[in-house]
Amino acid sequence: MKFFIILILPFFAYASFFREGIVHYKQKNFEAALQAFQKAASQENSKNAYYFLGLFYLKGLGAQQDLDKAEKYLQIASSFGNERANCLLAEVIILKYKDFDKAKKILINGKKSGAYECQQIAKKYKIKL
Amino acid sequence: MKKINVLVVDDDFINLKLLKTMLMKNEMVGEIFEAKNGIEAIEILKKSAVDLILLDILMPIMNGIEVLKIIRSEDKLKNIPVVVLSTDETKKMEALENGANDFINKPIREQILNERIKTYALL
Amino acid sequence: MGIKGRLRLISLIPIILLFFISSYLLYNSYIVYNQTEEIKKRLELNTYISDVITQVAKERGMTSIYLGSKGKLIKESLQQQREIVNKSINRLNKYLKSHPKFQKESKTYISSLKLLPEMRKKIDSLNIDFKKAFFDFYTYTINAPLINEIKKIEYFAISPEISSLATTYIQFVNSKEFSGIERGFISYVLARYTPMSDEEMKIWNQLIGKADSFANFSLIVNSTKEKIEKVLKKEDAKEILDDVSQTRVDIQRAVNDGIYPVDPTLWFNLQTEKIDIILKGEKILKDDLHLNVDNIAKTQLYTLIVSALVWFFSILVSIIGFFLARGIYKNINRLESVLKKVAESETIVQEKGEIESKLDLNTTEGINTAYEILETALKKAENAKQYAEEASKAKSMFLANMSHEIRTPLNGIVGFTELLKNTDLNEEQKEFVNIIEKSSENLLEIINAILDLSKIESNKIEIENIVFDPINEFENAIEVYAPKAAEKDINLALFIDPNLEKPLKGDPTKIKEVLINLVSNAIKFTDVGGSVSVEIKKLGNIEGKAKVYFEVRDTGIGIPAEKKAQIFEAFSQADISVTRKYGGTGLGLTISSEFVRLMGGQLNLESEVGKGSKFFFVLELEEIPTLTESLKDKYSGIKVAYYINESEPKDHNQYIKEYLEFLGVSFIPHTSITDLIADYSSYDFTILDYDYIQENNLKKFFARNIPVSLISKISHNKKVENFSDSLMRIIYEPVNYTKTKQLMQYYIGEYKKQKAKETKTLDISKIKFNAKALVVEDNAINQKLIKKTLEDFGLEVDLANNGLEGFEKRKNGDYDIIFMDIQMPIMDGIEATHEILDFEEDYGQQHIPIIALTAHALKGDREKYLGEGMDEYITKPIIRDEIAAILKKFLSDKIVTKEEKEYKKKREQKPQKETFILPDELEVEKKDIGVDYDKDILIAKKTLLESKLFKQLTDSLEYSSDIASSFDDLIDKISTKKYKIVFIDKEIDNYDLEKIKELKNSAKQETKYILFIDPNNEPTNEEIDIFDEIVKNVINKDLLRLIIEKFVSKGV
Repeated sequence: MKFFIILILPFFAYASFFREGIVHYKQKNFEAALQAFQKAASQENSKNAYYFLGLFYLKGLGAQQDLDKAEKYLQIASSFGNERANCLLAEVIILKYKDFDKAKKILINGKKSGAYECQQIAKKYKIKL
Repeated sequence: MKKINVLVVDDDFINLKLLKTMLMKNEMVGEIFEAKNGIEAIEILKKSAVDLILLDILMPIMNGIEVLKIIRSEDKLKNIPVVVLSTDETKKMEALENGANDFINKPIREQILNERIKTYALL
Repeated sequence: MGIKGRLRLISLIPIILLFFISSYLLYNSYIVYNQTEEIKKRLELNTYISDVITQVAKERGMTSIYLGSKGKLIKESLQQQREIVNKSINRLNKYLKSHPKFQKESKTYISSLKLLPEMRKKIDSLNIDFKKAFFDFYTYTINAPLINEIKKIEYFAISPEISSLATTYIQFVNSKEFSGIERGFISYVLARYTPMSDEEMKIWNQLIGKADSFANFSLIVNSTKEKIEKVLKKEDAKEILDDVSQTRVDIQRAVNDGIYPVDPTLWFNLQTEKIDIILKGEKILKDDLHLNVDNIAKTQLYTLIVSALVWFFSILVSIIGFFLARGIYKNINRLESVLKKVAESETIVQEKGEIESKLDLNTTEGINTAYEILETALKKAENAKQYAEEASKAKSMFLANMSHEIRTPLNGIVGFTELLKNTDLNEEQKEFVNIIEKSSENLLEIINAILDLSKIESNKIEIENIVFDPINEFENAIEVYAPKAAEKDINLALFIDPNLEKPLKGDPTKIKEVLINLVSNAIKFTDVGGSVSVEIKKLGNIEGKAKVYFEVRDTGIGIPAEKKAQIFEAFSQADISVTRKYGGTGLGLTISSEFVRLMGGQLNLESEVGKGSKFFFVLELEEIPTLTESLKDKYSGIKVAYYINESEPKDHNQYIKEYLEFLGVSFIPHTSITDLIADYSSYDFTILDYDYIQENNLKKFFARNIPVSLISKISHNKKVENFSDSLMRIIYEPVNYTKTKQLMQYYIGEYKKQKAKETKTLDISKIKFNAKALVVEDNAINQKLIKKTLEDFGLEVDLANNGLEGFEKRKNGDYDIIFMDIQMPIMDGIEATHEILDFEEDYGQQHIPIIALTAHALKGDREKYLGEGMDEYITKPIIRDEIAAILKKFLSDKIVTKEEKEYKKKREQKPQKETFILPDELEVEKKDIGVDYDKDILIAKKTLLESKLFKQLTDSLEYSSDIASSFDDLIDKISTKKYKIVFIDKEIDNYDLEKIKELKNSAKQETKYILFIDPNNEPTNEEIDIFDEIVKNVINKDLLRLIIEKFVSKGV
């Protein structure tokens, strides 16, 4: 399967690392995805790639959990308007800084923008929005 | 010289008398015939030998032109010289066109008449 | 509808149609043209607006990224873009400023644009919802009005193509906008990285449809369609569009989980590229729209101009038409009024009653009335004309009859009176007869005048054109008045130019009547002892016609200036007292003046009261060349003395001088009788005037045996007859040319008892013609007359009795001339002439001159006959001189002398093979010619060449000859050799008559001397004495032969 996708990938007009990363991510090949997203972030200037990087480092997908990297990446993604990144950032803040208030604020904003992850995280950490 | 016989045709008896008188004085003239109109003239021409005809143009009943035409149409008569007595230029020309040989203007002078006689007698 | 109405209709309707059509076209094209102008302007405006839209869209897009990234991203680029937008808006504003119309309409969107700065601030402070900014503001508030403004171009559906182009253009604009919206919106979603709500999905789908609508454009303008398709189907364009589709699909797959595989920047750029493509299409459409509009504009402009011209033209034409129509109406009205007048005239009213009220040229019945009126008028006019013609005819017949009726008894009176005069009468009877004669002559004069006048008034005068001898005729006419003038002791003088010796063609009767009238008047109005002079002079020649001047002047009472004009009018004399004193009808001058006018001249008058009057006129009369010799200088050498009493000059003194000098006579005037008598040896004879000289002086002349010719008035005839024995001759006044001529002839002939020096010039009057003539004439007498006359001239004559015979004879015979009578039976002269001419043309025969014989001798007849093909014409009865002139004209090459003719006859009788044939006498005498002579002939002509030519002639006649090269040589040769004949040219250099005289006298042989002189000269008497023969320089071989033979035969 992996092999097949790699074969097909070049035929996509918009063959890009970001896309590659997403494909890997969907197929739960988190290491490959992480690599792809890293390339996407650095070479393609893909903003949303930072979200995935942040996600991976937060959840420890394809790499060891690293809250600092996660925070860094998620902040970048958030600054580019990625709402989901905001939600995850909230979680990072909770995990790293144990600042529930700040996190709450972010989560409320995030909910507004339609990112359901924020609701999930709020549920997880039992924060009322 | 042989004398010529002259026929005078004029409806006016004075003119007739005048001409006759003048002719009688002319030695070259033999017999003188008189006619008051065309019919008489033709009668005379048929009966007698005439060498010269003096013809008045303006006559009633049968005018001179008609007489001239008749004379000229008869074989025996067409060789007789005809001198017309005219008072009018147009008639004179008409006469000449219709066979008249010469003309004398009225009023008639004896001398001119004699000249004409001479000319035609010599023919 | 009346005629006028119909006219109006016909004339105006087409023009009006034209006017309206052209007006419509004008209007239409103007409107459309204006529309095209507006479209163009709009397109221009659209460019600016479109630019604003594009830039605003970009700003919008960037704003969405900015807002999405919470102000973190592209802050600077957004600022830059805002600047670009501002600049674009400025340009738009600038344009609007210069286009007030658009400015008015721009209020909506301009005011929206003004909200930009505020919104921007809000955006900068992130104080605004994405959707609000993106959709509400940028899309609906800003761009939508702008797009609406652009859409306005769709209203200008001036042509299907324009419509189509505009629609497609708007389509593209819309697509561009919606693509922009899609771009911005999805960028935002991609940046947000969250799933799309259903609502958002809905929005997107709508956007997709609208953004892609450009791909399905339907354009009827194929050229543009192709261009756009070219753009869209280009490789890279296709790629981009495909990428867009693909990317959409990718995004759509991820809408539920929000894991979009597409980078928002990528998406933005991709969409921008797509928008660029749409822009390209938009530009093409805009350009082609512009082009199309331009074309239409051009057409419309053209139509505009043309229809403007047609419009003006139709106006012009309608104005002209209006005036023309008015002119026609005017004419119709005039016609109507004229017809009305006619209708009102008595004659019409009589016949048709009050018809003029029904006259109306506008209606059909009215026109019918007009026809009726005209018909009636015409009929009446026709009747009137007939009536007048009949009246005129009756009048003419009356005239003709009257003329005859009146003249006949008068003829009798005059004739018998003359006869009576010549019988034996006593004195008393003679007196009575004279009175009767005078009275009858007066009566005749008056009647002639009246008849002539009435003829003039009915235009029945015809001018004859016959040949006459002017000198003879006019002299005779004037001569009649000699007694009357003598009675009043009036000097009657007559000068007829001796140069008028050639016959003329004209109406002698009328000219004489005029002269008689003028002379009679002159004598009547001149007192005792006055003078009346008649001068008839030849002024010169013009084209074969002689210009003859006639004048009658007197020393009478004269005519006052005021009366001069009236005098030519009928029945007027100077005043009644004149009539009482002088008598007369007063008709004479009127008739004379008319006659002169009809003959082509004009009777003029100069007069002074108490001094006298002068009547004069000039006529042009054709001259007939004559064969008779001119008498000019005939009597040269004779000297005549003439006595002039200076205290009582007479006109005829001058005349006599001119006559004598013309005849070559030396005129020696003397003013003293004593001198005249004393000089008797210096002249041959003298002419004296009985008025100037008394009897005793006359006797002195007789005593000395001086020959005297006496001029006297006829009234003195008894007295003068008394010395008739002593006088050489008596001449009665008026002294005219003939009398003078006769005087000279008498002197030479009888008095001197000398034979008239026959200058041995070949008598030209005896000239004959060696020719054959055909006479076509039906009248036997006339035939004889003409034949005799022609035979007298030496011609051979054939006769034909009518035109047909004449034609036949001409075909078969060879004639030199034809005399053709006109009136003949079977075929007349004109027809025969035509036949002959046709024959000559068809068979290439040489034309024989045809001379018409006609009694008609009126002016203009000549042209008529020449027009029919005749060559000339002569009048009947024929006159010898006229025949002579004709023969000379047409047969000049057949001239031959009498001797030659006889000679020729004999020659024909004896054809021999000798080179020349001599008559019998000559043969005999030739034997007598001895061998004494060296040569027969000596030739001395003026030039050597002439002599040589001459020698050739004589050689051909087989005579021996010598040439003398000069006069000296001539003398030499004559002295040393013996010749039978010597020919000398008078023109030779050093010509010396004396020397010749010497030679001749000294020579022993009987040499004959023959002198050649110029035909225009006359030999002197001496020459006549010396030379045996004088020949006019005619080089005619036959002539020459005769001359030679004359002398050679007479020889020794």
